[in-house]
Amino acid sequence: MQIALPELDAPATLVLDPENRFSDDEYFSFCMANPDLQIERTAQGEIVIVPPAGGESDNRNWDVSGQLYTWVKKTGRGKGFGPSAQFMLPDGGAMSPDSAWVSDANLATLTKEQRRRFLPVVPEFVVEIMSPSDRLRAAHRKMRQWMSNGVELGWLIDGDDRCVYVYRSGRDMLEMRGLSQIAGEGPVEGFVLDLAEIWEGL
Amino acid sequence: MQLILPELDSPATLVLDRKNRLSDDEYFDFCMANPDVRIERTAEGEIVIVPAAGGESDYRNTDVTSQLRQWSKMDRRGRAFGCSVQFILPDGSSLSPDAVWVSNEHIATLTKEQLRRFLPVVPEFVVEVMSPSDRLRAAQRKMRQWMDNGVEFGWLIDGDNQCVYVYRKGSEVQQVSGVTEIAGEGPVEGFVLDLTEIWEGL
Repeated sequence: MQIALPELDAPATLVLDPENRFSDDEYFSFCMANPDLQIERTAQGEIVIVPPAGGESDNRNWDVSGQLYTWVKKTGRGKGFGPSAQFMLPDGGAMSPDSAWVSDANLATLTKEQRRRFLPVVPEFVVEIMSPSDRLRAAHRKMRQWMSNGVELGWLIDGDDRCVYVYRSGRDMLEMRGLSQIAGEGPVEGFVLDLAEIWEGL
Repeated sequence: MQLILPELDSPATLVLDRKNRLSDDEYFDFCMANPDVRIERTAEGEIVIVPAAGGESDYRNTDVTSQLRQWSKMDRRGRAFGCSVQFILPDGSSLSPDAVWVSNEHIATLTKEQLRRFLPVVPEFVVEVMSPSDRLRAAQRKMRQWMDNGVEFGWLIDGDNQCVYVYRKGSEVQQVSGVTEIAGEGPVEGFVLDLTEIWEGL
């Protein structure tokens, strides 16, 4: 069945009948059938269709991913991922962070087959960058979902407001302003993200 | 933006962000852009995608609409419609009944322009025929929604269980079994629906 969606400038949620929830395989096939859409799944099995991020968001994402890539290459520890990777979480949700870092030890738990589909692991570190279609409350909710699923360090970057919300496992969230860079901790200690270009935007 | 969905066994609901709620015109255009998909809208503006009814349901629907049309042509006090027409109801929802009869008086309140789109009028009589993807509770909820919006008389036909739930304005629902025909009342007094073929199914 093909549906022509109306123009979206905010996420839409597709709620399936509880008896007809997608299995993980069906969900994966559904995402593959819709390669131009960014799709996630809530813990309740609802499908969230996220509109495309737009130029400035994509550029900011790319900046963060690029810096994380450089650091991973230099240290040789763990693997970095961009926004196409999706992680299947313990609470049943499936989400794509804008950038993520997964330790080698964590990745070693996956079979070759699992690595080719959505990854049933929890990344140690995630970065989410707010796009025009995001609203702050929803973005925080998503960060809390990452943390409650076991992420150790998360950054929510609001480029327009020049603010980073730092989420650390077992600690209160910190709101940080007036920074030109931010240092990674815990699993990504040693990684320093330069924020100058992100604040400048497009 | 196209969304490819697997075949659904039961309705799916697309919940749009408040910012993206569709106006009546946008909703009509959305339905027209998806002519092969049965779509309705809840009072809250959620889009309900209804799976195709399947052969036996369509056969039963057609039987009801044919009989209703035949009678209404003879009776001449109103018009009968099939399941493609959609009514915009006072509570803001947009629903398609399987068969429906609207009095000439009600039709006369509509402009030529309105008659070419979804009808902002409450029909006096509706019939819903349960399809394999319907569940009784949801079907009964839909009937109550018709009645709450001002429908005077309605039938919910359960072909598999050979029973009819009769809804009358201001009365409790009545379950009627063991009948081979059922007589219309109120606005459709004089219409008698022969149930034999519907009970027989395909």
